[in-house]
Amino acid sequence: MARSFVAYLLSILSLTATGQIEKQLLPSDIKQQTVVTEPVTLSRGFFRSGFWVSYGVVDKYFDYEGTKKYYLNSTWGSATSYLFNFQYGITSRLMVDINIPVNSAREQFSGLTVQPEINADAPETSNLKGKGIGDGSVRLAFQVIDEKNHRISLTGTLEATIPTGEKNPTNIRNLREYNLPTGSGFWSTGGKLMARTILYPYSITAYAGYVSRFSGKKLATPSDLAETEFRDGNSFEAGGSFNLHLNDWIVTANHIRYLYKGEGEIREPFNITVPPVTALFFETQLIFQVGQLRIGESVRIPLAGKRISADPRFEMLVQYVF
Amino acid sequence: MKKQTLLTVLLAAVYVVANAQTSVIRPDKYTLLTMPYNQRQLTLYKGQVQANAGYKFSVMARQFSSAGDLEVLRNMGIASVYHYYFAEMKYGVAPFLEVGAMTNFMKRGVRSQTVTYVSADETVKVNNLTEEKGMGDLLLTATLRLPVEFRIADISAGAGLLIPSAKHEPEKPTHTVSNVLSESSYTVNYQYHNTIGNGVPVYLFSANAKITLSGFTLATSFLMKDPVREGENFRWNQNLTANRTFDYSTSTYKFLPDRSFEIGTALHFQATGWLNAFMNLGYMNSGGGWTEYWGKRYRNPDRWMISLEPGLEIQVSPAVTIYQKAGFPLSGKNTYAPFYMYITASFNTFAFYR
Repeated sequence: MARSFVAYLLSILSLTATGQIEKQLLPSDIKQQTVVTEPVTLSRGFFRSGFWVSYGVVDKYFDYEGTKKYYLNSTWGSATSYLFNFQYGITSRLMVDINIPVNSAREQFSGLTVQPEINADAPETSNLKGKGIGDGSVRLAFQVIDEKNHRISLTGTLEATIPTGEKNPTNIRNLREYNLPTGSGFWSTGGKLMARTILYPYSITAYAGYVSRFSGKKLATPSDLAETEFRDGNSFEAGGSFNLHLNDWIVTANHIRYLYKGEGEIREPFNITVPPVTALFFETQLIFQVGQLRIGESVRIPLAGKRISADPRFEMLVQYVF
Repeated sequence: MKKQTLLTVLLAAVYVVANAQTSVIRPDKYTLLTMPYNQRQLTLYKGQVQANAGYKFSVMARQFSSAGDLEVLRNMGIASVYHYYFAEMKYGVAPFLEVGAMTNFMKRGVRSQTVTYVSADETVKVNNLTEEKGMGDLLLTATLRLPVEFRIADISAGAGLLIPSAKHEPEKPTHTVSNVLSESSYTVNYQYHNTIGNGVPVYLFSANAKITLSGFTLATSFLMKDPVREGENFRWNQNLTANRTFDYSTSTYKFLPDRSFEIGTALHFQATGWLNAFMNLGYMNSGGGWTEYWGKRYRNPDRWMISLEPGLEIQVSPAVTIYQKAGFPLSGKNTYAPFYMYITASFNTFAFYR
């Protein structure tokens, strides 16, 4: 009797043990995950392409003391960037990310010179535009501590920016009529470490990164005959984001980012030191996940800073996982 | 015996009547909170509390002239951007009565054309910037709708008062002199700081109507604002001194804000329960006000504009709805022709209703 009872008990235990199953996510499920629930890097063999549009104007800036001020001249500027983005999961922990921007910028000035003694007025106008491919970039992201087996994942990224954009003003007719450059004219490399944890329906990230910029050569002003060597300052940035599922398919993401860009220099014959730049940004995003399609919009607001634009930037994105 | 029989009959009758009373079946609060636009009445439901917060970003790169022509301000270097934030609370007092309160904050800097005066003695460059910034007046509203259950059509009418709670007097200017290259060559930067309060109470009247046919709804709206009385304000005057600082003084003037009308006709399409897409054709007209300059009253220019506003209403959860709208100016007179984007988050709940 006792033996039968033990045998029965063992069979029950065995059934319970084999009855434990791990929930299997199908590839189609993974492709529909949101920015909160998706893996930090794309799954192996997955391909994602995206398109970003970002727009900002030139209206205000933070001065040397960090005071927000309007530009006082009768000038107007706007910058629109169209970014084509391609991501591919080489392994389940390694992803490659390629960005190709197309930049469009506009700077306009309109003034009037009045000479009362000879009763003459002379308008001064300039309408500068630039459109073309910007500086492309390649990024590798690797899950150093993968999120499958750990509560907090750690991802390292290495990034290189290639000066594919036109660095000099082109089609120069005079100092008030030329095409604006769309590229920076220098190479840069950088690395970033990002930690993330998912506490559904939330995810929290924190990161820190450093970008080193190499020397480059370009025309300092449109009237120059020769290019001048220069070096932009290296930069450090750190930040974090708090992301929240508003429902199963809408996410709001809120980022805080601190940026410090060190001293730069413009070498012979100008010999100018470009002072450092600091900024603190807040960015809020609304992201809609409709199956494998992701649509998002965001606004980035400069909260504080020194020697940097104080205007918000607006961004829209479309992404699709194949 | 008769009395006993009568009492028994009466008690029985009371019992029958009491049991015959059926409680009014009211939809649960989640049904009401997630009611699609095409099935929703024009005012809030009884007990519903709604808190709205929104942001509008507008690029004033063009304007309609007094002849109605489109002028490109950015070519003149005087385009500007406009940031507008608002917060609003509404409450459904009854199924046909809603009350609300709203205020706003806005900021914007408008540049004038830079002028350089050149003479044999001096070269003076003059920049001019007028900033408009501050809280708007507090608006209190009450809206009544037809006291019948909404089926396919609804009508509402409302009244409100903009209480002059916000500052309307301009702040002291902060003019500066910069880029002093020599005694006779420098830049003068005029910087005025205006506020956005009306300075006088303003009445508000509104009317709305909607009719629904399946997933489509045609909605119209009317809004009129009319100042209660004329007001008084002051302007800052300045004198540039020999040591390149400014002396300021003020001069008072009287004014009457414009009366304004806004009329809108929108076609809504309820694509699914959580998504309502709409296209609104709006007309704005203002005029009739005046402003005093040097003791004389000058009539404010009449303005009007027609704009097209496509938008979306997205029900994110029973409590949260997001509204998005973009605006494109079509034609107008004496007014800016802004492109704008408007996003509003709406939080809804029933405070006293389980």
